[in-house]
Amino acid sequence: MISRSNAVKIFISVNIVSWLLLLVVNLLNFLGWNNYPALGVPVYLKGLLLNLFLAFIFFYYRITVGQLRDDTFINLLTRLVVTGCTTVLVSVLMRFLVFLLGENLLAQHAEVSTIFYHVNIGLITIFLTQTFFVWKILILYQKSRGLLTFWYFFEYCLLASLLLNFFQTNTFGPVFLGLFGILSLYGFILSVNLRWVAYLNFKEKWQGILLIILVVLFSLYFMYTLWDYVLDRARSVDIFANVYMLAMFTFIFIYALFSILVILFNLPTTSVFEQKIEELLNFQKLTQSLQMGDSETKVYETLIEGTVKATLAEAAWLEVTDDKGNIQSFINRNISRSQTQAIKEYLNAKNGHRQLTVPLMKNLKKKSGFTDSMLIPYKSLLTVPLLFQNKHYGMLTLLKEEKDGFDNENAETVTVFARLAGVAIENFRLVSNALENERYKEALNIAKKVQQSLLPTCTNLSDQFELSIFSHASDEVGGDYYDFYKMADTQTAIIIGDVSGKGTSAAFHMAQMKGVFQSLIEMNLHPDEFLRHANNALSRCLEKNQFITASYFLIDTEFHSIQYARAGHCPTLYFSFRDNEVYYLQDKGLGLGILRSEDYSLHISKQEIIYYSGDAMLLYTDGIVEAKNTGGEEYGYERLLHFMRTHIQQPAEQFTHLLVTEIQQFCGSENLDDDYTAVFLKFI
Amino acid sequence: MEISTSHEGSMHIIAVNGDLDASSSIVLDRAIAEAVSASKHNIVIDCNQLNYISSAGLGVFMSYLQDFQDKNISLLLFGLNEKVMNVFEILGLDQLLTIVPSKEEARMLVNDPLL
Repeated sequence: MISRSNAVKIFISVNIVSWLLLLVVNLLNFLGWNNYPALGVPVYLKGLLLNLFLAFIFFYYRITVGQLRDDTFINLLTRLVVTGCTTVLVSVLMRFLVFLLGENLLAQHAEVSTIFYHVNIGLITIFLTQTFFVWKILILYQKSRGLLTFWYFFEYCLLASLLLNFFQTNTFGPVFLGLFGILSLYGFILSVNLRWVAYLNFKEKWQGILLIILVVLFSLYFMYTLWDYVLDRARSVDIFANVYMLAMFTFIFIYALFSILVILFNLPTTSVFEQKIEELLNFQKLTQSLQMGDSETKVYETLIEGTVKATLAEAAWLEVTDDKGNIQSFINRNISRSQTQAIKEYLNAKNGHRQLTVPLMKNLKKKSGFTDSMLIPYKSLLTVPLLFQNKHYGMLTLLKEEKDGFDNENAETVTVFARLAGVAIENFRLVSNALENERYKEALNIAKKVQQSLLPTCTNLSDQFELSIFSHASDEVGGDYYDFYKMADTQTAIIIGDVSGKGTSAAFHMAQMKGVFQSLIEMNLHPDEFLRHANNALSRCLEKNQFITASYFLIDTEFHSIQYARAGHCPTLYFSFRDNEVYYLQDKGLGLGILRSEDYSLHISKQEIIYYSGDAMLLYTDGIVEAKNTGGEEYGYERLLHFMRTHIQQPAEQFTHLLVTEIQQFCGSENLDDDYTAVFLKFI
Repeated sequence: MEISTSHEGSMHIIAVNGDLDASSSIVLDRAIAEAVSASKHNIVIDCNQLNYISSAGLGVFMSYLQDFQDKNISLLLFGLNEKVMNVFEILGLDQLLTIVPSKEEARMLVNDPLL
């Protein structure tokens, strides 16, 4: 394929060569070669040269003007007028030369006239062809497929009409007139496509009219000049005996006329159309600004900008309020914050303090006085609520200096803007909420990790007993607690505890409990004393309606004894290997933090049992016995006892695993809505 | 859960109907607080229709222990079913609260000038 720039070069070369050849031929003709028919130039050769010239000018502009498709209409027309100006200037210069030389001289040296004539032909062809293709761009603006086909047909027909130049036809014979008629009709039909006019603003319309008039004047001038030449002298190449040129000129003239008329008629409605276009553009801007994820302030500014332009308001302010009605964002134009405050107070006094759900148009009456004192020059306002799904997000108020400055049309436009803004604000809120939630989640995850680090994982405390644990919190963090301490080689302390309530507050108290227990353990206390001290310490940090339950076990593997005390915690389940019996260790014991005085020791007791190899203990929290099935029935103490009896032969690890499975199966879900913990201990 | 209050003699009876969990315990707390501010000296909780009590429910009772002692208000509970009673017992609250089987016994206790 030949590249575009190469094609353009070829077209230009062919143009110049064919034009020069045509000039030479005509000069020869003029100098009397015609008298020698043998040397005469045949009609078809002259036709060929002319056609080459015309057709290649045509192709040249087809490509070069076609490239300017995206330029503005006014630029296109200006370019055209520049060409017109240049060509006309050259032509006028030649006239001036003729005037200087004098008519007589020219008559004697007719070859000079022939040269001028040919230059003029070149100039007009250049100008008309460029005009033709500029018109093409205008006509095909927002084209349909049908229109495009129609246009190509027109182009081909026009080119085809060049074929006539090969023959010495009767200039105004039937073929000539027929073809000219058809082409003119085509041009006429095409000339009704004037969509581009609608996209000119007021100023551009005037420019357009002026430029098109210039184009018409230039072409008329050329026609007149050529006509002059043709009338004066018989020319071997008569440019008027040419359907192509005539049809092109007619088409250009018709379209210019139509354009001027349509632009003129469109002038009065331009401002309305312009405003609508601006509204649309501003809408687009706002939507884009939303899609691009612009900052909140940017979106609000676009909103104010858009509505001010759409309503031609002189001042405006935008208030975005949060859920509690506090002003979150405030943006103002040509009005101070104190002035907006005064207007708001005035409106509130007029309308009561209810929130607007529909646009409100109002005149600010002079007699109410506040406008003067606040130096407010505005006489009318339009205030529109920013709503999304009936939720009030703020107000947009526009002001004008004249009375009754706003109409329903304005209110509707601004409402649409406001609706869009409502969506935007809702989105901002959602995003910021999501971010906040994300932060909370992150914080909770950290809390979870911290809490997990408070609970021991090592169960290998003694070769005298096996130990296994399962613990689960219904939320990220919970109030269940267990701990093991190696007191001496043969002594181990085991604690299980449960803070009333769930979640974060329970988790904090659980951490406090760990702190208290850890410091008390150093004191080497008996279990009841231990719990008494714990009650003292914890009473100071628990809320009035909060308590902690706990059981404390001190296992001595040397004497095979278990000392323990219970502070309101779920009774421990015990398996006696010798008796082959499972039972709850019953004794009195009050929860921690309930009685916040020394009387607490009255409500607690220390127990001691001797264990034997094969005995086992199950420590657990209330989440296990209170686990509910879908029927609302609790798992309960009976089932737990039965479970222990049934599975007591299992190794410790397996036992807790089976217990958890059993509870989950009982509830019919894996996520129980309480914290639950089990510590199983089996003596070897 | 529903709460209804009534008066029988000097008894200010608060009847609890349903489950006493974290959210409903707030309602009970308010009812007791109202009775305290109305200077009722014998607050009696009717637990005949109480199905379940959570630790938050227990928290309501324990939060008033000191208050009642200071203001010389007696708090009586009656009609607890076995399961609910068990919860009070395990926590040890039965040692601090006066829990009687029926309203009759509650009335007798309230009317006993020695108490």
